[in-house]
Amino acid sequence: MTSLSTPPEKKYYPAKMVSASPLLVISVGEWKTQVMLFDLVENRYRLLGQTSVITSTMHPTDDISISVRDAIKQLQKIVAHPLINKKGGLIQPLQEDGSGVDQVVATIAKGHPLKIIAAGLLREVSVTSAIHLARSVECGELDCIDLNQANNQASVIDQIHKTRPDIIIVAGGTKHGARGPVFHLFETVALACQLLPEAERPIVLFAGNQDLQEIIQAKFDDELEIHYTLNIRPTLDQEQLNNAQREISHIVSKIRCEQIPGMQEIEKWTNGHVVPKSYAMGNIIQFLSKARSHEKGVMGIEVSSSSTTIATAYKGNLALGVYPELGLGANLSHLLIGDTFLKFTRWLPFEIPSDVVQAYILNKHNHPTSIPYTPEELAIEGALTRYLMQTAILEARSAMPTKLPTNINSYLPLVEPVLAIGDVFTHPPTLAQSLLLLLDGLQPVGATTFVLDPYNTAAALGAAAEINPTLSIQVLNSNAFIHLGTVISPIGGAKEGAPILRATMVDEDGYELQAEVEQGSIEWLPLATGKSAQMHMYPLHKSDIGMGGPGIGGTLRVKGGAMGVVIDARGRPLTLPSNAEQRYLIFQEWLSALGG
Amino acid sequence: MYLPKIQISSFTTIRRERTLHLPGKVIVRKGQCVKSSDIIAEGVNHPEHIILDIASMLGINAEETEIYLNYEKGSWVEEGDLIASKQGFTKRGVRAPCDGQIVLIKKNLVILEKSGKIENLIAAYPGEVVEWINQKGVIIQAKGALLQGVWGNGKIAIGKLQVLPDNGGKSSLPIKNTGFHNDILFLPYCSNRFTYEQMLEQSPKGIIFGSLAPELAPTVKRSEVPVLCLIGFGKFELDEGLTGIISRNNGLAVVLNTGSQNTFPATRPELFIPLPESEEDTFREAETAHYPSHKVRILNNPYYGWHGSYLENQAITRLPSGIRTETVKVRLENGEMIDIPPENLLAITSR
Repeated sequence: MTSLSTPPEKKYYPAKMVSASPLLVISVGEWKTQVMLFDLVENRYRLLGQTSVITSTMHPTDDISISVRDAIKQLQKIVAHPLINKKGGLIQPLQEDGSGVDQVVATIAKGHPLKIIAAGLLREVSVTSAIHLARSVECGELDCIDLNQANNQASVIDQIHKTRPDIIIVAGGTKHGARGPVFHLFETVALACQLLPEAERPIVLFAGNQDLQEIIQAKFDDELEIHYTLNIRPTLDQEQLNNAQREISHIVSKIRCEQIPGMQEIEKWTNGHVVPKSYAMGNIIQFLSKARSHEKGVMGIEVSSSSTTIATAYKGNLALGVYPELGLGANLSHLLIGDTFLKFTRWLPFEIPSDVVQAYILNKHNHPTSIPYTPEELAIEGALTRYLMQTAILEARSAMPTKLPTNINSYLPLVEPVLAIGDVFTHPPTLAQSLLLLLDGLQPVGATTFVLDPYNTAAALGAAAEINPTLSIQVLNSNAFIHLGTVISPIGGAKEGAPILRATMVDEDGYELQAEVEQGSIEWLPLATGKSAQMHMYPLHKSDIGMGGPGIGGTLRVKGGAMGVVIDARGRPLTLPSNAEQRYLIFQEWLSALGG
Repeated sequence: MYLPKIQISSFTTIRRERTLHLPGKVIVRKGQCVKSSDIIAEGVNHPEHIILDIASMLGINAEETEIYLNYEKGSWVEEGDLIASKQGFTKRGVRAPCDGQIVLIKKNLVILEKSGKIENLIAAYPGEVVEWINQKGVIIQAKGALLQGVWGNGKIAIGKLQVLPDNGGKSSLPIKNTGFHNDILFLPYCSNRFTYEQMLEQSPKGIIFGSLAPELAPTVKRSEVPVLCLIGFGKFELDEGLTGIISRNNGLAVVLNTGSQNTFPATRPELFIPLPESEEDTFREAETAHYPSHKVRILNNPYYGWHGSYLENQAITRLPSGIRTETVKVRLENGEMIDIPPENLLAITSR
């Protein structure tokens, strides 16, 4: 339970203020349910408080509204704002005595991972785009159909029967391009769906050649539930997913609301404003990206017990990837197999017997909500998170636009800021450990800033933006986030210990700090949150600081934060000593360099 | 405070859904009593389909197809049956290429679902059919002892419970089969692969471990034999309530359902021991002593698998890991009081 601002005294809202009334966000997660209340404090929206409880769909209860009510009851105590009536219902609309709410939105990240079929004409073109679209929601099983397969209608029918998909995405045909083959593909899919019992028929999302929409509507709308969206591949080299992401998110919300006991009631409270959490997260990242003028993208990353989600937006174009197989919980047991175990245990900061690590992973798989209790458990979770982030970034790269500002040595394109969402990033006892976790996992190049989202506010704001964008803008600039600061990561081929960057930081008061950074090291310069400074940088040994190429320096305005300004010269990709003892020493060294 | 629950009960009434993967035929009625081995539904697993383009095969217009069809949707045909025929000067016919059912007729197309291998679904839980799920299966109500576990490899078996002596994680089984091939073996702890393989050599119907060494997890997961783990991976003591239920029912017919733990719908792997209703009162008293309300199992080291009772008061505490989080007071069975996050607790319920 957290109260972030002093609870406002009971107040009356005049009629003209109704549009600026409190907003309740309900986030139903796979394992945790969180509620947040936002309201105006001194004419600006603030997060008044939030609380989270364990989601009540774990055995034997299967009604999520139990945990939602529990969480709201706790919240109303801490914010001194009555929200639940005696019968257990939500007080709606806002009452004259100040109790209740008018606006409610919900995010959902609960339910079995979806089974989706991505169908298109060419595997490298429309099928790939359909796959990218499918991966923007929690897709646990993904199957593909291309034109070659569609020509054998019977095998497509068998495949659809075997997969039993929740959703089928049909794409293909560029703008004013192929019609016949796309229609044939759709007809085959429709035929297969009609053979399934009515209650088990998938929802079909048509995201292909727009010229066919009317014909498909006329021919199949009575037989199937079909949703339509803009062509996701209007030209061979252009992918356009934004509209389709919105539509598939509606489909997912619909499936979840019908499927999960208790969700229908929440849907009523929200007046239909229920969105998948990943979509809400993507929404806020896209929103931030539109507000930026620079070339870099904006990134959000969430590592939760059910999945890892990466949202990256460049000039408003969103690439969203949800990876249920990379969750820090129920899917961890695959990490015990083969090389993967060695890959992530390299990140352990001290020696932990492998049977202890294996037991932790298996027991975490059985109890994904559990919180690391001992230093060993926290170290294992830190190592797992680093590995999951790296794997997710590699996966996410394939869905990002190909022409991105990037560096050859980095798997992360240039982004600023990076918004880190979820408990795993706030669990470490110090912010230095949180930042190191992010730097090791993401390994950014050039300059970027890091922001922690300790209360999982980002997705809530993404959902709230649909009905109250002012609130989202104002809360983004509030104390709900922890600004860690700016990180500059020079890269180059210099030897370990060679100086690669000379930097002078001049803050707003004219105070000057100088640093000479060596290859392989990580340095920290203090600069408080809310402050900014001019950073004059002179790369040495042809190192690249992301200002136009190797050896090119310049001046950068840097923002402060809880961790000030960090220069991460450890190299990209980050290579760890093969000797375990040396690794443990170097981890200690890096942490001490950041202040522990 | 809501906590995820696990049920350990000497006698309880359960309802379990038993369904086919694909729609088929349910062959029992609501209200009917079923035995474990009774077949309750049957269906074809992964059917194959054959599409017959009647119009082009008969050389007619698509719109005329219906006129020439000899069967309706839903009809069963045998290989060689004349599905459609055109009489007259040019006599033509379309014969069924295999045995199967006509599942769709659409304009010029007839879709035939090939008869495949029938999947029989057994009741597994002996009891009364209380609900009928159209074309899919039933819900059965059964009475008996229930032990829910934390991990299973996703299979189901019925057999006789056979408790093996606890030998410090090693098996004391003879090398060759000693007549355990119809049994469901229980060993409190399995420490190594040799012991596990020795148990498999007995060709049991299923295996239950109180806990098992983590290195065995990949092997056990792939096993064809249903395996259930009650407490977790590592070496953990079983509490008296749990061992009491197992030893009391040694030699009885049991249902081992090792379907994975799911949050949606909420299920856990479990051992069910069907018992006559007359047994209910016998166990109630002992059970209340073992599982009072607020009994919890701890899910983090160094207390993993320990039991205690939680007290409602909550506070923000710094854990030994350094994490600051909300915790509740838990009184361990040895009287020690510790602060544990509610996320690291599993409530144990007997009802």
